[in-house]
Amino acid sequence: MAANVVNRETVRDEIVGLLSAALTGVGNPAQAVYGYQVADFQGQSPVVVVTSRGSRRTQNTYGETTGLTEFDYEVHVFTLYAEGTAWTEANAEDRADLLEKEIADTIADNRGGSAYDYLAYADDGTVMDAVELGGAEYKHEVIPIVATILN
Amino acid sequence: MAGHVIYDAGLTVNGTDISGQANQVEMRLSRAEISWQNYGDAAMNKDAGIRDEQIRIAAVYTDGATEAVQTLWDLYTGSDGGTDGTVAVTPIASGTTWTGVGKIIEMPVTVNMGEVGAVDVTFAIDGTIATS
Repeated sequence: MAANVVNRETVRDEIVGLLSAALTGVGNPAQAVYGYQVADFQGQSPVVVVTSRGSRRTQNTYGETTGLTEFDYEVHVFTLYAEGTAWTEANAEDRADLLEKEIADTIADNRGGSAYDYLAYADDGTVMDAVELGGAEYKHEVIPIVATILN
Repeated sequence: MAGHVIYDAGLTVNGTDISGQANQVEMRLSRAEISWQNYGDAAMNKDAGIRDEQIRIAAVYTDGATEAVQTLWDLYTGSDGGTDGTVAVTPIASGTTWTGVGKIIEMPVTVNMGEVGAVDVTFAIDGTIATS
């Protein structure tokens, strides 16, 4: 039987859909969720970006075309540092923490999915150096997650 | 003769192919050790006794009527101490097949959080394992 392994994009799209539903819209903490790197947020904040980081594909039975697949992704959280008096550095810090909680809640609520069998944090989240996008300065946190697929 | 990396071993139990879920097979081939001494001997005399053999299979835990776990469970729970299973192992495609008939005497099922479940069964072979 010819192999037909899972495409990493299929799982990423599902994760983006879950995060978008949980984090955006009225009363939710993010303005947008993207499934790809964005060069300029056009003033949007906070923004969550999900990108692919790598794959591990292991043959775990004598069936040559079956295996255990682990897809690594990064969830990037961008929060505008400050904008006049309406949005302060303290707001940015609070919102970044809230987004981390909401992302963790979303993962916990969706351990098993349609395109994957298990979803979890892969490692500690890391606050990176501030980044300037489209002329605005953003606080930037990276949360590594891993999706496991048995196929 | 070159060695082989095992990646597509054939494995059937009562004719059901479970190679797609199995990932380890161990054929435990052993004989009883017989020791005796004659008066005046300086050391024990040793010999090999009758054969006592087992086949151990490890597989991933997957749910469903046609999956390996169900096939093995049906044998383990058969009446009169379980049902005989014919285990046939072909480590290298088109190579030697090792066959034994016996009942399952151990079947630990492991389900660790965040990992793929596993089942590990040991067949006590009634008689001896044969090759063909």
